[in-house]
Amino acid sequence: MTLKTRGRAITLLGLVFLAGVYVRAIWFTPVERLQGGAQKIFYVHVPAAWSTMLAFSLVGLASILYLLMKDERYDRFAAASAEVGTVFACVMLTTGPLWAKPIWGTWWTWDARLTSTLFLFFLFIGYLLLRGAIPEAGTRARYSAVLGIFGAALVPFIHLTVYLFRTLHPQPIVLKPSAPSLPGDMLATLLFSFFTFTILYVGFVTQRYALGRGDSHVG
Amino acid sequence: MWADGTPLTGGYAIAAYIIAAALLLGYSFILFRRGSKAP
Repeated sequence: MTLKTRGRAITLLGLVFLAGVYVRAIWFTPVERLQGGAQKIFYVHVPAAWSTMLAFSLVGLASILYLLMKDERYDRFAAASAEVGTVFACVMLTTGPLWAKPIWGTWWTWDARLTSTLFLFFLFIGYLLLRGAIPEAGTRARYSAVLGIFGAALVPFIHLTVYLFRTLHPQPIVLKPSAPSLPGDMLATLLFSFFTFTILYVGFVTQRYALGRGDSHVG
Repeated sequence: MWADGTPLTGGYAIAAYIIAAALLLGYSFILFRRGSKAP
């Protein structure tokens, strides 16, 4: 089985699981009493944010490894993870305002969490544009590795913004030192969605990596 | 608001689910197409 076929199979599995997440979240998970139906956006928004941060963190890790070892496989992986992370960031940044409007009364607010996340998104758009603008493979890999490391350095800061600043955005419910503060049914749906989005990330990156391997001009 | 006091905000959730599915399915489709064209 080639890498491309493997990536397609994992992606298809992830899409089937995504349908399962939707069914479970809509029909088999209780409605939150204060927020009503809008709270169900949680099961898409939070896992999308998780996949985004995972993707951009791994860009940073792969970039460091590239600069240390000069192995172009790390550069290809970083390029794949950055593109996939940007897609998940689009999901995060569109579902977030749709949740904010009915609950906060506004689509957007320029607080630390939202602004730094938007900044990270723009930074990785810049990363992808940089890759497309440099034809020479070695220079492209070196420059984008530096940018990728700076981007990944923002990830822990973004996670901590809800503790460091006064913000409308809620604090972590699962990814925190203490036990998850969520009823069992909701937690099960959320964990299933985390798993599904991780599978989708792996499937997308595997396919994208295989594309980069087949064509050295694919940034 | 529903009779049991639950706020009527499900429309936002449906919109979010549709957009998320469209983005993820769209990107899957793009990768499948790019993979089919690649050598």
